[in-house]
Amino acid sequence: MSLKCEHIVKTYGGKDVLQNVSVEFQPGKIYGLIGRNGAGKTTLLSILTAQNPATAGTVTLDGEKVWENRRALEKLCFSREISGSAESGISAMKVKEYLRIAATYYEHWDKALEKKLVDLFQLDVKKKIGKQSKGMLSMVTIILALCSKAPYTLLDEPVAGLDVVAREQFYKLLLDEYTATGRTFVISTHIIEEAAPLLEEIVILHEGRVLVEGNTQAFLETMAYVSGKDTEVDAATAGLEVHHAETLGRSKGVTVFLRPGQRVDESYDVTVQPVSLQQAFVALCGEGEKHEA
Amino acid sequence: MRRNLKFWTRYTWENAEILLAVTALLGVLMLLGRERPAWDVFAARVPYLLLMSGCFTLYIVNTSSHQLYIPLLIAMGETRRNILYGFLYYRLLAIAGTLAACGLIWGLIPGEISREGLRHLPILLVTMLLASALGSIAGTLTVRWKWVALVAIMIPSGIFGGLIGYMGVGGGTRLEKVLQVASRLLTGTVWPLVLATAVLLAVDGLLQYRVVMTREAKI
Repeated sequence: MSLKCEHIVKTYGGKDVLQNVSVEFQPGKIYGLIGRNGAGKTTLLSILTAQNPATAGTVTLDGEKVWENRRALEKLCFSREISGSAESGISAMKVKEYLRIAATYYEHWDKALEKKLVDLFQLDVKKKIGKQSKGMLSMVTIILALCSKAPYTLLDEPVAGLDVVAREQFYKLLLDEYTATGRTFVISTHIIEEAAPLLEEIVILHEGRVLVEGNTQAFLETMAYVSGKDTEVDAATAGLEVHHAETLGRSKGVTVFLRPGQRVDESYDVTVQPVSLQQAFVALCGEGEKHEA
Repeated sequence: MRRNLKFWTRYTWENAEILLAVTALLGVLMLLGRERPAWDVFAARVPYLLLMSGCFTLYIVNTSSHQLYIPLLIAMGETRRNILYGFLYYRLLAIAGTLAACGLIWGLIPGEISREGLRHLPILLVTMLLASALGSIAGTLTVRWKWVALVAIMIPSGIFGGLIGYMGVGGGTRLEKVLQVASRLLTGTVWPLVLATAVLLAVDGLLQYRVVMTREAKI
């Protein structure tokens, strides 16, 4: 019982945006999908929900193919970013109409929650989408995601453009909804540090490939930040996979990846600290830092 | 499918409001013209105004449906196959509704104009199918090439606007002329028109299938 994609390839104009991506999303968990710009996050989310056909590979929900399968699609909601630009036809549509169409198509749409969220965000639903600010458009995508009540809900950059207060409101709402319903959420975000406490599972996408997939805490335990005098750090991390190094004079700090059985040699004069999800992500996806010490 | 039908029925009704507004505008222009027609003649001509507005509305709405509503419904989790069925349902409903209204008006108002109108219903059906196919083709091409929208919407809008202006100045007399020319064109080219419509409907069906089944739901 899961949302699963296997060997997904997506090619745009001869360029492979997704290369043999296989990921499984278990029910009742909050997943973080993180990656740099252009890593293929939105493309993956749209393929998972049949909003974009894959060049190759399959997507299944509870063993059934998702593509052109209404029964499977009813359990999915991908609340994608709304561009709202003048070029987009949707810019002339009022938020009220957009939500009305959503309420028509999502079988379990929660009208009461919609009203509550519209009031909470002080959203002017009579205003056209093209006239809304980026933050307001994010609120619309959040309303769609939460009110759809879809068992698997995917959100693409839900907090983009939101101020810190609105972001906190969103995290609280998400957690409340998750606690109350046990729905599965997959959240793509660049604001990693803020979202990290919510993300039970993590998928890191890098250059169209899955770099990391698994429990967030277990993943973070495989990494460590080692700092101290450069010679001591080099000695302590000898043989370990170093992903990110910073030097300041003779001081050095490195992020290392620890394979099963490996550990930092703390007999040297170094400080070993756990890494945050953001540090781990930068270490893994930063440019040209990876090397075997 | 029930939700899909609900959406497309409402969509038809919302567009019918546009159609009625355009028809009312044409009617007012006709009445405000230099030579106001007699009421019974005016009433019997109303279905033609409805048909002109219907063809124009169908064309424009079909074009814009591909730009907005079809990707939006994909984004809302509807299957592409159902969306294609829904879009077809909307088009047939709009055509059937317009022609039924015309038939009803002609049926209620006796006279030569009405008899002629009723006799021409099949060719008027073909004309509406043609407008619908052309609009949909323009819409599907726009998905790939944005500039098509500019040409496909501006040219018919310009022609229709020009026609309104032309008839607005002269009122009933000029509308009569427009209708005579249109009637000659339609009745003189029945089979080429039928053939062209059949070909365009087939092209439309293929293009739609290809575009809708492969497009990404960007909104």
